[in-house]
Amino acid sequence: MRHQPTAFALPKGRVEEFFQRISSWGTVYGSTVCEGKSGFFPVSRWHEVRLDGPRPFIPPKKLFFPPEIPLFSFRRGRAGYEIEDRLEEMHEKRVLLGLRLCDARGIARMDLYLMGDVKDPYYVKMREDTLLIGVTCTTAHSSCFCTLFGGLDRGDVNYDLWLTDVGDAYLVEVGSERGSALLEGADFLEEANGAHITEAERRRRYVEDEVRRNLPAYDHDAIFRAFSECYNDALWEWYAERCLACGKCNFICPTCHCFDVYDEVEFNLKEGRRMRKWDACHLYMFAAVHGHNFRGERSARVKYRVYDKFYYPRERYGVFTCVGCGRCFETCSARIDLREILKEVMM
Amino acid sequence: MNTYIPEMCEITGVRHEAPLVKTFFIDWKGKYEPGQFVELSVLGYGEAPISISSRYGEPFALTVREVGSVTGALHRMSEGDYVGIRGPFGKGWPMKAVRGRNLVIVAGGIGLAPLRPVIKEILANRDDYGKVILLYGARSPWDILYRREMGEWLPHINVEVTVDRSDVDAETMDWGAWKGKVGLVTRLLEETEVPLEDAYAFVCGPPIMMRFVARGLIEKGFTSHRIYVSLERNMKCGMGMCGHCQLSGRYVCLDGPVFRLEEALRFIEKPEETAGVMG
Repeated sequence: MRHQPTAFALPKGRVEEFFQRISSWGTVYGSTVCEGKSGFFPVSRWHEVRLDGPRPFIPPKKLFFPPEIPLFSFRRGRAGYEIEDRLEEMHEKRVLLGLRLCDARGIARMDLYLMGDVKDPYYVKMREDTLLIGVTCTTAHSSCFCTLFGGLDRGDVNYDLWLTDVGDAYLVEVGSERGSALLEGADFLEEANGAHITEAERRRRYVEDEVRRNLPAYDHDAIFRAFSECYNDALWEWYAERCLACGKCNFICPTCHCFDVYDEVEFNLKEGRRMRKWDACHLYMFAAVHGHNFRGERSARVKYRVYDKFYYPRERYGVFTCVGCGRCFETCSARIDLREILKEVMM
Repeated sequence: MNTYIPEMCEITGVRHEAPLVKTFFIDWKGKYEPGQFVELSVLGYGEAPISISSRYGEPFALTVREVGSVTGALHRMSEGDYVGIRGPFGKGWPMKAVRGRNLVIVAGGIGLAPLRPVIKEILANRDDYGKVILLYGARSPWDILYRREMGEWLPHINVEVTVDRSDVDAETMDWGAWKGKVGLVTRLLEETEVPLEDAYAFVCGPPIMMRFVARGLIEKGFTSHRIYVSLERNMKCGMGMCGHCQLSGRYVCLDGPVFRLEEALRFIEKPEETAGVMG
């Protein structure tokens, strides 16, 4: 039920008014650099946010799927246990400002896993309470390869508002009912004209052309076919020799969603919490059960993660869950480049 | 509705089955089918996936071997203590498909627990099923599960039990009190005449055992679409989200744990249980 897109122009002189308006929804998490880390942090003014340039290093995944959350608390009582639901604690209303397209696509993929047939109540709550305001990249990293998965086309992603720098103004495109409601009666907006829209399109093409230089444009069916044929290839052993099995690529990935569930107990031994924490399929114990480890070999784990981006989700959901952000090999200590793996598979 | 919160239920009875194995009777009112599992919580220790070993309608029971922190804590509990239950999860044994047909059940060790509801179901409606044979391999005579119940099963279904080792003394070759068969369940399968016509096979046991039993069944003349296996994985959430039980794009907790062998053989990531069956 996509809202009919409408577009406005936001003159650059009036961006703080726009900021005031969006912060009426909740805390604004802007794309910025904080203590040397480039990611999404709470901001109080428009000018703390960095909307130019490519995507930030840390994806916004943790705003919907925090690294560690309590699921519920328990306390030993006279008759068994008392359980306290911790779901209601996740009620912060938030605005995500400066969402790049790879991350918007990452959220769409996370929705498949956590908001599909079975719904994760914590994820659903945080997703519903967060307004998504995207921005079109103005440049690309040398590791970006989003054009393989749809580039800067927004047809397959969800957002409330989308901004594109068009020179002296931002083109503001509305993507949802609540985005439209938020802007109602805003006097700082002007009607967008044809020139704004053409300029936004031109700038989008410019960035896409830059991204396209980073990886050949493979056909999706060809990628799937190639993966179905190279499962027993020696290349996985070769990458396993370099891989440190540290799980960094899992944690930085905007679509890795695996988690562990465990209990934490207070020192009084009467109270505790059931916790949920990120887990990583690269770690040795990920697929272990008592007496058997189903992916005890490192090559099996290296292969599993790549197949879980390019093969299994395509079988199950019809899409790849890699979004081409390039963060996994930017962070990799062993410098294992996913694009190299792709090229080798496609050879 | 928060699907992560377990229902707290009282343990109504504990039965010792074998060393490190106990059956816990729990006052839980959920509806379930043979082969499904639940997530069992011992608050303060965590959660573990446990297959249901009772037939729906009888007191809900879980047969658990003490192997880790959750099962260890459970083993220290007794009547009147509370455990958490979430579920039931997964797809169980295809009981409708075997109606009116012959069935070969092959179990190894604790793998008999998820097959007990199948046996109970057959005993309750014996006329609905054809020939039924249970081939069961335990580590030693003391590790045989449901020993006291097996007497009730015997008049109705064919039961063959083997042990990996009895209390054999190497010098005197004294086999102790065990007068039954000694050897792996795969050898028992080779030696035993099983119905092949119009027959299905249900297999559950350790990975290596399932692998060789599946191969043995195929050598005997079973086709892979009539063999069902119950796969063990580390199901943390039971809802297809945590990723731990994912196998070749399937979630064992949603799409399994019971799979048709034919389907499992087509997985690109071979479950170890079936790897090498065909080659």
